[in-house]
Amino acid sequence: MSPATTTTTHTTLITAPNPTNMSALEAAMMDACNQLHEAVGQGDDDAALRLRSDLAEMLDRYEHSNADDHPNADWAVPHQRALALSAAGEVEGAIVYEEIALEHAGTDRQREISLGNLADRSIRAGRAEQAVEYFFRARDVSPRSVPIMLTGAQALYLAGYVSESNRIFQALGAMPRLLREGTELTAYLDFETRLQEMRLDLPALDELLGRWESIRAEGV
Amino acid sequence: MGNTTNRLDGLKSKLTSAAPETGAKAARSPDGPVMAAAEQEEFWRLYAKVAMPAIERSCRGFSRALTDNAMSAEDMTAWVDERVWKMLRKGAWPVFHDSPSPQEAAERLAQKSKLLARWAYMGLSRSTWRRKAREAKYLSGMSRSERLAAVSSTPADLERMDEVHEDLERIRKAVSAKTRTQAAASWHEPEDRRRIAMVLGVTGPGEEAVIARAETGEIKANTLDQMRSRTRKEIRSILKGPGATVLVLIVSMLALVLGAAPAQAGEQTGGRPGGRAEVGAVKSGAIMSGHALLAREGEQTGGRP
Repeated sequence: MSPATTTTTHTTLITAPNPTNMSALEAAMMDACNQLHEAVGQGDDDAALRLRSDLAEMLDRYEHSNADDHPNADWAVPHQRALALSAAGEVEGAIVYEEIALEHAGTDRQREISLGNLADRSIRAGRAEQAVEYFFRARDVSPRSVPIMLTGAQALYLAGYVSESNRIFQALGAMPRLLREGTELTAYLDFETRLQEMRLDLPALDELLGRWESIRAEGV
Repeated sequence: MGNTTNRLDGLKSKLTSAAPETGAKAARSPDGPVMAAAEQEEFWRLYAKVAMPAIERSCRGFSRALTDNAMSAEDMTAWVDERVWKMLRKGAWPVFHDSPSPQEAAERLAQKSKLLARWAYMGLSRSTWRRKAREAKYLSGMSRSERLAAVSSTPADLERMDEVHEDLERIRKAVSAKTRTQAAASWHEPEDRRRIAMVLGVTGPGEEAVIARAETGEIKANTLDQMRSRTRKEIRSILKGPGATVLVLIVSMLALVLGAAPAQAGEQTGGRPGGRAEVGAVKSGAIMSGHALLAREGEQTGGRP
C-alpha cells in the first residue's frame, strides 16, 4: 500500500437521490450551488459573487420559511448552509455546518447524505483518512448508495488504498444498468474531474470511463 | 378481396387441422366467440387477481434484462392490458379462441405472462429507443447544473459488492489500528505515549515511528491537537456501534493505567458547535458570515493541513 498522490482540484457536484421530492427553493439552491462550484472552479469571480449573493438570499428565505416545511428543519437548514459554504469554497465551515446537521439527522437518508458530504469535504480539505472514517459511517447507514461508494473510492485512493479503490470501480462496472444517462454514476464520470486524474492508477476506473465515453459517443 | 378471404380461410383451416386434438400446446387457432358480458366482468376481476401480478413480474424482468430498466415496466403492463382487452373483444388466440371460462382465461394469461411481456417489449421497443435517443440529444445540450438536476438515485446491487465489502471490512480494521496509533502519539502527556501505545496494542515499528515524529516535533502541536480530538471522537463513535467490545476494554484499560476517565474522552467532541442557537445566529449574508462565526469559535479552522 503506497500513498497515492494527486492534486485535489475544486470539483464537487451535488445530486439529489430523488429530485422530485425537493421543494422549488431546495431545487433552486442545489442548482445555484452546482453553478457556484463550477464558477469557483473556473475562476469566474463575477458569476461566483452573484451566485453567493443569490444563495445567501435563498438561504434566508429557506430559514424563515422553516426550511420550506421540510419534515426535519433542524437538519435541513444547517445542511443547506453547509452546501452553500462548500460551493463557496469554504470547506471547513461546510464541515462544521454539516456536523450540526448530522446531529439533527432523523432518518437514514439524512444521515447518509450528511456523512457522505462530510467524506467529500474531508477529501477536499486534504484529510483523506478522516474521509475514509466518514465513508465507513455512511456505508453503515446506506451500503447500496452509489454516491457514497464513489466518494469512498476517492477517499480510499487518496488514503493509499489504491487496489481497494479499484475494486469498487470494478464492482460498479459490473452493473451495466448504472451506465446510462441520468444516473449518479454517470454524473460522477462526467463531472468529477478527480476521477480523470485517478484513472491513471486505477485500471477498473479507466475501463469504466472508457466504456461510458464510447456509449456517449455512440449516442451522439 | 375474395381471394384474400379464401386464402385466410384456408390458412385458418390448415391451422385447425394441424392442431392436436388434445394437449395444451395447440397451434394457432382461429378466433372464437366473444365472452358474454357477465363473464367478462368476472374475467376482469380474476385477471386483476390472478394474471396481473405474474404479468407485472414478467414485465419488470424483461425491462431489467433486455433494456437495463430503460423501458418502463408500467408502460409494458399497460400495453399488455390493452392487448388482453383487444383479444377478449375478438375472442382471439391464444387465450380466448376456444371459449374458456373466466377462470381458465385468467389462468392462461398468468401462464403466458412471459409471452405477453415479450410482446410488450417488442411493441414498445421502437418508441422507447426513440425516446432514449431524444433524451440523450437533449441532455447533451444541457448545462452541467441542469444535467445534475436531472440525476436520480439508482441503488447498487449488493451481491455484486461482496468482494468490496470484504476489502472494506479489512480496511476498517486497519483504520482502527491507525486511530489507536494516533490516539497514542497525540496523548497530551508526552511521557505517557509509549505506555498508551502498549495498552492500545500498537507497538510495531510503524507506530513507534509515529510516536517518535510526535516527540521530535516533526508533527506540529496543533496537528497533534486535531489528531487527538479526531481520534477520541472516532473512538467515541465506534463505542456507539455494535462492535464496541474491544474498544470498551481499551478505554477501560486506559482508565486503569492513567486514570483517564472514558467520559473525558467522550466529552472531547472537537469543540464543534452543536446547537440550533448557533445555526440561528447566522443571518443574512449568511455564507460568509456563517464562516466568520465559526472562525471566531477558533477550534476547527486554524492549523489544518
